[in-house]
Amino acid sequence: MSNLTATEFTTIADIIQKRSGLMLTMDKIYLLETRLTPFARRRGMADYKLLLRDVLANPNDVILTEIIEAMMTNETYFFRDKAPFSNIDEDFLSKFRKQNATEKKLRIWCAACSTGQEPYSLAMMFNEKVVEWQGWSIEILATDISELPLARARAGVYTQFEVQRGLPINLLMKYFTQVDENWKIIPKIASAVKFQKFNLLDSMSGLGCFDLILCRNVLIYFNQAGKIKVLESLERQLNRNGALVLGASEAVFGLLPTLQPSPDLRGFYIRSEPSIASTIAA
Amino acid sequence: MKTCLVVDDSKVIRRVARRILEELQFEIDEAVDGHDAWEQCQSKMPDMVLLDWNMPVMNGFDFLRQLRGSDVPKQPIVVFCTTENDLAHIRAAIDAGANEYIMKPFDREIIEAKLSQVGLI
Ligand SMILES: C[S@@+](CC[C@H](N)C(=O)[O-])C[C@H]1O[C@@H](n2cnc3c(N)ncnc32)[C@H](O)[C@@H]1O
Repeated sequence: MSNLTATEFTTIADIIQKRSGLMLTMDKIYLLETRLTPFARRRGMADYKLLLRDVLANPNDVILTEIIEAMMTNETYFFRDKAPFSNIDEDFLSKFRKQNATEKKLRIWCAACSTGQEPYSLAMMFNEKVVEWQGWSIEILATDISELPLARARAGVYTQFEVQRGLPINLLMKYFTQVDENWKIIPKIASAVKFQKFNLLDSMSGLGCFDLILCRNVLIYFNQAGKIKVLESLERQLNRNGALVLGASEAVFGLLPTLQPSPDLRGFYIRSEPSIASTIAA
Repeated sequence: MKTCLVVDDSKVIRRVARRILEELQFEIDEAVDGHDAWEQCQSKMPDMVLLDWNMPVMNGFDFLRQLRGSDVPKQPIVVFCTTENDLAHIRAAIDAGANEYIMKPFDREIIEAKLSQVGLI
């Protein structure tokens, strides 16, 4: 079958970007092939180009959504990059705990949680400090645009390979049970996280404000305008003194006027102004 | 350079582990069973032992108990690397003093993650 024309490619790339933020430049055309070929085959088409041409001719919401999901990179692992988690635990949250000792309320949002390793890492982290967090109401909301990884996250079942990347053995022993070849997170940790489908391009106001937002390894796939749009929205959902944590390789220097990069915690951006949402509410 | 003793009765596994660990800047020695490992440790204690469980002569678990029960001046970090992939074995190994546990099959990424876990890289 003939190659996609530049126009066909741009049309598809445009649709994907408008709906998800994911930026596809011409040099990533191979990604369409590697990600969509298995998907096309499952739908009985030998060639992904057939699928794309078909959906361009007859736009179909369901198929488009599935195409977008297939294009996503869902790679994640427990305690990814390590340092952000110890920084959250030992620095940010230990201060937060002291500053909010009377209210005892903490809301966290993992804004692109994929298969759930990130929010579950947080939930285990809290459980490792039950005494310190005694009496606190802690909410961990975990969202993603894609249904499939979310279903896996909710099931909380991980392969042997997945539990060996980043998860210390003592936490595996403590928080997982073995189910055949796989490992299932125990109900106590599973129930500490609420999973929900959410697109970062949608209005966030319904989610309320958070003390900590993790938005890691997702904006790298967005173009500059998309990044700014999401960052501005995220900023509005942060409580005063709340922190936004981005991925290790995501420099957003200068993109956020009121979010200050933390001088000592890499990838942390602290909101010093009261949140816009709470100003309006007040 | 940190040193690692790779203990496994399979030559293939030793070779694969050696290649990965050398890439991670370790200096490698090899032992074919627990007894061999114990003898090597007495003349030269490594920083780390990568330890199989099932081996002839002396298995990894017995080696670990002997090692942890001995009064060597500096105990190495011990990471099990075995096909014994059930919780009971893992628990026994950790109780006996293993620092980490790798369930085979492994790859470079897993070795790297586990070594970072025990603070060796
Ligand atoms: C590479 S994973 C990152 C997972 C985790 N945060 C981490 O750092 O390990 C990126 C995730 O972002 C999700 N994603 C991409 N675009 C999104 C959007 N517009 N809204 C919400 N999630 C999105 C993808 O579905 C994917 O699961």
